[in-house]
Amino acid sequence: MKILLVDDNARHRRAGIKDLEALGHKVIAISDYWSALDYARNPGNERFDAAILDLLMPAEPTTLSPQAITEYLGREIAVGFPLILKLSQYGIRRIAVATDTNHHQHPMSAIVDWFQDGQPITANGAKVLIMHAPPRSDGTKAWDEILNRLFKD
Amino acid sequence: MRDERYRPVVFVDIEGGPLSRAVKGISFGAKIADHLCDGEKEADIAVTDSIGAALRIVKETEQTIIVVVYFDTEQRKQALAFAARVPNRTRAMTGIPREGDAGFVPEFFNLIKTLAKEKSNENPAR
Repeated sequence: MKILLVDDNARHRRAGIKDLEALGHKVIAISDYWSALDYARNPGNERFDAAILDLLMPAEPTTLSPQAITEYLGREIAVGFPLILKLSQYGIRRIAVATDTNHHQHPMSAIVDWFQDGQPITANGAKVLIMHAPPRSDGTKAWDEILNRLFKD
Repeated sequence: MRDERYRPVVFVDIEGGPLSRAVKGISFGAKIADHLCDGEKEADIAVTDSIGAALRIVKETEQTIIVVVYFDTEQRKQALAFAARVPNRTRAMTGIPREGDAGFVPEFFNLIKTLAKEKSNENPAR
């Protein structure tokens, strides 16, 4: 499968590439949400079978005024949620948002608890999974496990 | 006797040629790298005058210390706000020191010296 992995953390991305490529998948790992959207909507690129996204990523400077850059640049925003909507519009049929932020540390990570009941969610026809990322012993996300859950029907 | 102390790797990500050359020219005790990462080995320090580049470097690396040099009031606000948001990885330093500011040059020297000492102690056999 061809998988889009979007995570701002270099360690998580490296682990994701290693884990998922070891399973025979082709992985495109991207560190910011604007670039991920640009890549996914480019008709010249092969369509992704799945996307696995971080929930909280640092705000990028694109379109921001100097004052807004001071206020927001690098601040973690819950961009995983709107990414679900856009990537599903671009035809990705399986999308997981998996956060490693503890639900005691960020309000949007606490909101991920709402989705732990296992009820399926669909957005623009895509199957969507919103979850706390299962951790490996080295602190990286267990990407293979996330992918397994995304494709478990 | 050969100096066996660790020399931190410095990557300079500054668009303007003269400023970039000046920073490279004063990186005493450090090695200048052409790339942020050499395989899995990251530069110890990255110097930039762009807040957007600083964010990109934070995301592309795990350990690199990012020095954001600022020259005017607006850049100062942005650099200080960003450094406060990513305090373990980022240092904001003024390129035009005023009263009370150490300024980029002495702070940068200190950073290189501190990292050289820390890394030499991590691996005393070096």
